[in-house]
Amino acid sequence: MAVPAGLVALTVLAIYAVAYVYYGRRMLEQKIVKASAERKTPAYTQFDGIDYVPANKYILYGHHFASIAGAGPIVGPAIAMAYGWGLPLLWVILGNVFIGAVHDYLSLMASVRHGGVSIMTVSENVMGRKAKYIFLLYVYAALILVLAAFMSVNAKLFAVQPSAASKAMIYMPIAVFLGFLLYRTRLSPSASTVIALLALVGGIAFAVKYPLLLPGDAYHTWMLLLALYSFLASILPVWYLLQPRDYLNAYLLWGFVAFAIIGALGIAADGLTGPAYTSFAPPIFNKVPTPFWPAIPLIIACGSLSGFHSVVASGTTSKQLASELDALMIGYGGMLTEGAVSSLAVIIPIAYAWSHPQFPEFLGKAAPSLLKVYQAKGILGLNKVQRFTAGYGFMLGQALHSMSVGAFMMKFAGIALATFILTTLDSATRLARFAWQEMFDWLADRSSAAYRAIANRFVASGIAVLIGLALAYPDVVIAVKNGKPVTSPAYNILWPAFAGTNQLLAALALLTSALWVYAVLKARDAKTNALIQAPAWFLWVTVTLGLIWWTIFVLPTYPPIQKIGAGSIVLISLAVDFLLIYLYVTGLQRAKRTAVAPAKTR
Amino acid sequence: MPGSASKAVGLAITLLGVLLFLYAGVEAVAQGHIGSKTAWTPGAEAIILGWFLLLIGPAIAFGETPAAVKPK
Repeated sequence: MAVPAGLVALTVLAIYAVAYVYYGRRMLEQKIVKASAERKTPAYTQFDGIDYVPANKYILYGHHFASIAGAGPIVGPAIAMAYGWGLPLLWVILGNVFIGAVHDYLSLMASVRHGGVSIMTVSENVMGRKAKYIFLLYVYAALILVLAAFMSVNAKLFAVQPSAASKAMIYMPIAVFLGFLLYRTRLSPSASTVIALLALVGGIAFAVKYPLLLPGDAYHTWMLLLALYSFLASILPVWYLLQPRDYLNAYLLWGFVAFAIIGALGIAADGLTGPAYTSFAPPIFNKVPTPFWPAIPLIIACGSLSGFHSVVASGTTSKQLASELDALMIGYGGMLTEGAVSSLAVIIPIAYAWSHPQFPEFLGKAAPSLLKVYQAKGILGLNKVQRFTAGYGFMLGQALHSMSVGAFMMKFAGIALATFILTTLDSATRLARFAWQEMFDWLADRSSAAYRAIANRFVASGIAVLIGLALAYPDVVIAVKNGKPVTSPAYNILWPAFAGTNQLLAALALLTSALWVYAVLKARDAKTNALIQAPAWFLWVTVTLGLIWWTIFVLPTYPPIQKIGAGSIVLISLAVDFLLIYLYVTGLQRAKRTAVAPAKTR
Repeated sequence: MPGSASKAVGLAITLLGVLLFLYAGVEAVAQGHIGSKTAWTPGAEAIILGWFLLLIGPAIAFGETPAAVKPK
């Protein structure tokens, strides 16, 4: 008998609600971190009007969520549906509650308590100076790769879907206008928001109707334009563009999640037509049988947990946090929201549409080009984005008893995904700038002039964008198929290694946070250790074994250039992994023996 | 406080950006799309240039951190 969709959806929501109150609020916020509104945050103590600027918690929540939610919470779970819906859902929920959301919240709070520096610099206090610079260099490299990948993905999206390009053109000026209304006029935040949202709705309608077409090699043209945009957006003050833009974005994202909830509840009594379980090791990575454990973090990634989140939380978010009491909603709640996207907007819809008798009719009307593929190969024959948009649209169409609405919501899902991707681009540039500035902080003591020359925001952002562009712009021959060269952007030589390095970063960041809790907050009771250290170690073991598995079984299936490129990245990652674990263990032993020195701040 | 000169420059850049956007909008309504896949059009150039001008113009005009954002 098929499991009712409503039961699954309500179970997910109930687990998240209970986790937020009992684990997030009572355990993490009140008992372990002891967050207090009395303690001034770095947004106030380090205020500089550019990066350190206190933000309203809803605006900051919007920024944080828009930055952490890239394509990961959507495409990862869509791929993982190859296991059936049960195992991916389990990983998303348990991963969110015990690992991902804890990781995001603790990274945020550790940074706040250390003057807003990144989690990589926080590691110096608990693991020593070597750990800090190794960690920073590793994260910087990962951020450049993200920058290159997102530049390429956005450029491709704008080239093949010109309405997405016109939407971006209209969106940014509206965001700047909202910032003007919020901070320069006497209009209330509500009135400012309503005006901006109306302008946005009109703008999106205009963009859908009037796409922006570029001649010739539009993909590479867009890449240059996006590189310039990333540079400008990352050096402008956060109150000017980043905060209002991401605040506006949050409404789109919340609308996306709200519709998913409406959809899931609208089909509540209907059963999920897809199997709860298909196989423990279906062919996922390059048709290699992919065991759920330990490979699942490499697939679902951000839907459950992501190292990039700790960089965002301890990068831009911690510098804008107005009160410690806002952190739970933003850090822990933000990750749970991302989990809600994965479970309610991706897993449930795809499981519902899987072999639903009316799904072919829906595809025939909403996306005729996909119907033949579905009829031949089933829903797993559609690519990951198609599965998601079709499943989401179909679920809503059924819930609201209208195929036309379903077809529209399918397009809306595509717009939401495009929006998730664009906002990550300049956030990643700003974060790369922060990492660069922290990597050179030793220079500030020796020569403030040299430090200012190399680490000012213009140079730091410019270097990040140029390296990212150097990886994204040129096309290289990746393989030869049927005698013809297959080209791909240069960053793709390294990209296959990214999922693993990102998840490893999550494990290392969580272990750093766990050590901060133990050594600095001195929360050492058995319950705290079990709740924080145990998941951290479980994640570290899983990801390390996952990376080793990937290197042995998947890497050999790649073309030679990627074997060398991605393989080098994985080997470097594993070396960094074991080195940082060694420093973690020595840091832990030191913490057990001695009292910890006062936290170093910026 | 930004000087009156930089404020004037910023406002001029912003106004130019708005005008370029409007120009692109007119091309959009007339042709059903902005730009073309075969050649650069004035509308495509206008909206792209206008986009960057609208990103930096207000920043030059209103460069100072707003009072609403400064910590009290």
